[in-house]
Amino acid sequence: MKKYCVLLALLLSHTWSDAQRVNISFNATLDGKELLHDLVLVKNERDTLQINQLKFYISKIQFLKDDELVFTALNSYHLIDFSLPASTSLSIKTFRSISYNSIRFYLGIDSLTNVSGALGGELDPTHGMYWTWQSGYINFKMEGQVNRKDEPSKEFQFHLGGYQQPFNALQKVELDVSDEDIKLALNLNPFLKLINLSFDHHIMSPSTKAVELSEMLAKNFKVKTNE
Amino acid sequence: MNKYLYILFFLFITAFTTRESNLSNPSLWPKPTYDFSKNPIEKNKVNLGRVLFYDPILSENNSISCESCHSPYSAFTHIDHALSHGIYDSIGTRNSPALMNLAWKKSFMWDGAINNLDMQALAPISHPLEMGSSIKNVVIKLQASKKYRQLYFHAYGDSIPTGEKTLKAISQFLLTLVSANSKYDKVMSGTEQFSVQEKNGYALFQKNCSSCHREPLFTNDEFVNNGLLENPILKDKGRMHISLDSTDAFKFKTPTLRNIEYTFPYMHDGRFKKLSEVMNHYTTGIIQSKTLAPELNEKIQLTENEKVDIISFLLTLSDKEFVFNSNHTYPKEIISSVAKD
Repeated sequence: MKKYCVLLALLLSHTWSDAQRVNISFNATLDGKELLHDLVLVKNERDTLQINQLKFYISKIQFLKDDELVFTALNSYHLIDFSLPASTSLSIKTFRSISYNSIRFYLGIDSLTNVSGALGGELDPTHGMYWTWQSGYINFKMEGQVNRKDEPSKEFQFHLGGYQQPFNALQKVELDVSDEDIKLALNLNPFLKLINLSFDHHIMSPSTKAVELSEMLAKNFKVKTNE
Repeated sequence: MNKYLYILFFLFITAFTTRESNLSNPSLWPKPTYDFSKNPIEKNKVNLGRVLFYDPILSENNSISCESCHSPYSAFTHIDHALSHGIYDSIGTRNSPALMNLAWKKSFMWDGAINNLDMQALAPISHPLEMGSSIKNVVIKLQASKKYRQLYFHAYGDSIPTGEKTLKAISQFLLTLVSANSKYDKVMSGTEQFSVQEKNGYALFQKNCSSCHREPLFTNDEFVNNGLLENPILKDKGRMHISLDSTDAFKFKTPTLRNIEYTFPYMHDGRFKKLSEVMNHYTTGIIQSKTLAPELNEKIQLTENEKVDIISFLLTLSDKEFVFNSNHTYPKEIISSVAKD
């Protein structure tokens, strides 16, 4: 036992010395404009789109070099909540120096975690990202309203999730990156294009539509290049 | 590791029950579904869960506790109420189920909406017709309570309530609700005998009922359409609401028959008050439909005497020690030993 402890200590001291931190930050854009953290208000000529809540889970962050996996972050479940600016930046400790040119992560929570009972930290159901009438994490939540001239305002609530087939909404995202400071932006326009906001919208359970919308979101994470 | 915890669980149950014989019985049952390695049973956590179970603090206006619809004296259901009652005199849409032997269940609720015992309590806590609150608000209230800070400290070595700790503690208490000491269990272990009538009823039960109400848990834990006429007001499609699959229409979770004497009324909407009505349903009341359980396609033929025999067998599933177990009732002794709010 002692021998193993010594070995473990040596191993840890070795790896710690090479530890590296990768920062990943998230933002969201609408019509090319970055959304503010606290209250999101986007105006175009005629409409006002107000987003009151925007939060989503990012999980299983991995780093790849030429399509080969070089590092998987442990227990990486992160709730990105735009009302809590600190939550939109992640600092991933890699324990050793790695070289990579792409990252992979999931938008949402995997099915195993969905059936694992009560969990804590970022997965604690007090964060409002767990359905109560039916088990399962909400992968992505956006709520707000559309105000149009001379029309009553329309509300929207998108609670996208679902872990069981055929409504598994978990999405993989892969992006080429070149920096240690990775800045990602989620472009919401293509997502909103799928929806006619002249009506009220409430998607609050696993469904084909929830999967379709989740796929569209996953396709629209973009890496911002430092200019 | 898991096996070790599983044995610990039974030792714990053993220590907590007053029965003298037949202790090995649940250990001969199928392996529990609940993963004890993620929430190993400990006395102080069970105590915390028990206090939470009996505390209306879980509801928005501190009026409704779990016990409101799950009384220990009726094997943890709400007797005499067809549909569950909740906050502000609300009436729910389904009959509250009896709580026992929950470690063996794969899913919860009549439609299996809940996938893990830990997450079950979220549903009544949040439902506007039940407790009308949210786990977030419950945790805020618990964090402000001296009593709970002390109880969480005893249970977790950390006085700050969280959603995870709260839900797991409730599970701990629920997991101790094991009913395995009915006359049926004593007959199976050879310490008691069925009467002639009970024995006849048991044979008829095995022939006609046991494919769904499978021994020893008296449920197959599956979703089944048992041929009930659709309630025109509730329009409840059961499992289909969750799976969105029309082949699941009118299917509901097979309930256990253990302690059935105490858990009336019966069925997901509590439509039958007496076991004799249930017998009449299965013999002459079955409504044919596409999703009807294949076992019920052929008519069950029973004479009036045979129905009475089956009922006399069903009454051997009553577990008085379970229903009157003082470790399951209102935790006066625990509450009096901690700080007052």
